[in-house]
Amino acid sequence: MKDSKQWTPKIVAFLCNWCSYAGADLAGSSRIPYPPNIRVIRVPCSGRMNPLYVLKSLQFGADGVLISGCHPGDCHYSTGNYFARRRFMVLKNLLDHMGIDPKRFQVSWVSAAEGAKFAEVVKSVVEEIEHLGPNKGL
Amino acid sequence: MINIQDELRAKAKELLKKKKVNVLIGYGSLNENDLPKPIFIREEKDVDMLVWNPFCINNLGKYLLKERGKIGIVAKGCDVRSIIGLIQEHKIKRENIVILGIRCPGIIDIRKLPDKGNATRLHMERKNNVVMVGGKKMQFEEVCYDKCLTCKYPSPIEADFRFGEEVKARKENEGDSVSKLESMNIEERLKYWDARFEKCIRCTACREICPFCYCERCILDETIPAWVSRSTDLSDTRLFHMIRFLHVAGRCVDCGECERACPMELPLRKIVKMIEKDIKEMFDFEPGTSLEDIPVLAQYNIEDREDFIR
Ligand code: SF4
Ligand code: SF4
Ligand code: SF4
Ligand code: FES
Repeated sequence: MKDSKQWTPKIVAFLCNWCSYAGADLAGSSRIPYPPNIRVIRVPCSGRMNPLYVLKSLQFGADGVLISGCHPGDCHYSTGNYFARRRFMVLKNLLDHMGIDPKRFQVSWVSAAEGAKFAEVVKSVVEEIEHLGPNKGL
Repeated sequence: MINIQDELRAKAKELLKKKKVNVLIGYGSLNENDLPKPIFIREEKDVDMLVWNPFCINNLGKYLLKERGKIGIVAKGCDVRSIIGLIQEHKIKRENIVILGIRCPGIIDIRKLPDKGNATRLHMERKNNVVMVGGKKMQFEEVCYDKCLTCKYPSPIEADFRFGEEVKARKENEGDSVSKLESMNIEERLKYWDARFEKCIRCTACREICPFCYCERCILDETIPAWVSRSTDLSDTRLFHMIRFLHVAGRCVDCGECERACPMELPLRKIVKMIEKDIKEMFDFEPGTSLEDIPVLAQYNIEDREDFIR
């Protein structure tokens, strides 16, 4: 990307309070570097994620959205991430049908102990979205 | 056709007389020039306004939410699916409704008739697949609603009484319209929808008519915060439709009412069809086909797909 010198992606990251948020914290306190492109919003559970927040972030200029929650079986509320997973599948497909690259919407499971994985996820998401270029808006 | 109407009236009279229902929701016309409209019959003497003809298109299911007590309802195969959906969502109780189910031979889209059906429809004759209209011979497939071409459940899945002869599921031949969209690349798809969403005047008719858009407070109307601005800006219109379709995903039964109600003729059923296909593929689920089902997004399977998750 030639113009990527000026442009770097802005990514809104919705992190579950009980796992990925702590995972991000661990990455920080263990001094594992990851790209500074994410803006973190803490949510109580991935099941709290209304797909509307993803669309609204994209509409307001985010180049990508990452949702990260507890691994299946580890959700603090037992099943929040299972219900969320279905909604995310539907949203991914709908983005595609509407002509918006579904890669702008990313999901990961990162536990509180996975600081290194969190850094890895952010790195690969940033790379993928850099590749897509700036979001021209919803 | 005539005898379905007679049978319907007889059954309606009986139900009202025996107080089995306190209202009967059906199709009514004032005279034979009048296109059928939703009618709410509370007294036996009004039963003669009840009609059945090939123009009875409305899905009356949504009106079940506006009535109380025992309700009788005339419902075609497709309409019955939305009623099943509403029962699954605990909006209505099965025991409070009496379904007069019609085995539906297909409904005619007057917009497809010569002169948009204004005069020609009055002298229309149908014999199996051939329709004589305005002195012209047309195939039924040319003049029926698009949704009827691919109707999988023309005979009601659930009903208390059934009318008409058994109708077989029609074959899938509309899939092309969706596969064309699917074969476009992502920019072409965006352009395709831009050209359509540009026409949307945000009248919300598509939401008002949808049997599953029954929320008393709809997020699309909220002003503090205004999640979706009311402007007809392309981006806001896109957001409006994406949210509405996310809300009806896995519930929508392809009754086609949103597309029919749209004054700007947006091809909303294309979105409906794509979602329907996804839901079938991902969850092996067909909305509104069984009273025992739990709505698909209100349940989960531990084995659900994970391949898109990092
Ligand atoms: S979205 Fe359209 S086709 Fe689906 S149930 Fe609602 S009105 Fe019917
Ligand atoms: S768009 Fe959503 S919130 Fe609005 S009525 Fe339909 S289902 Fe309810
Ligand atoms: S009915 Fe048509 S014009 Fe009206 S809001 Fe829906 S899509 Fe837009
Ligand atoms: S609590 Fe973390 S996903 Fe539910």
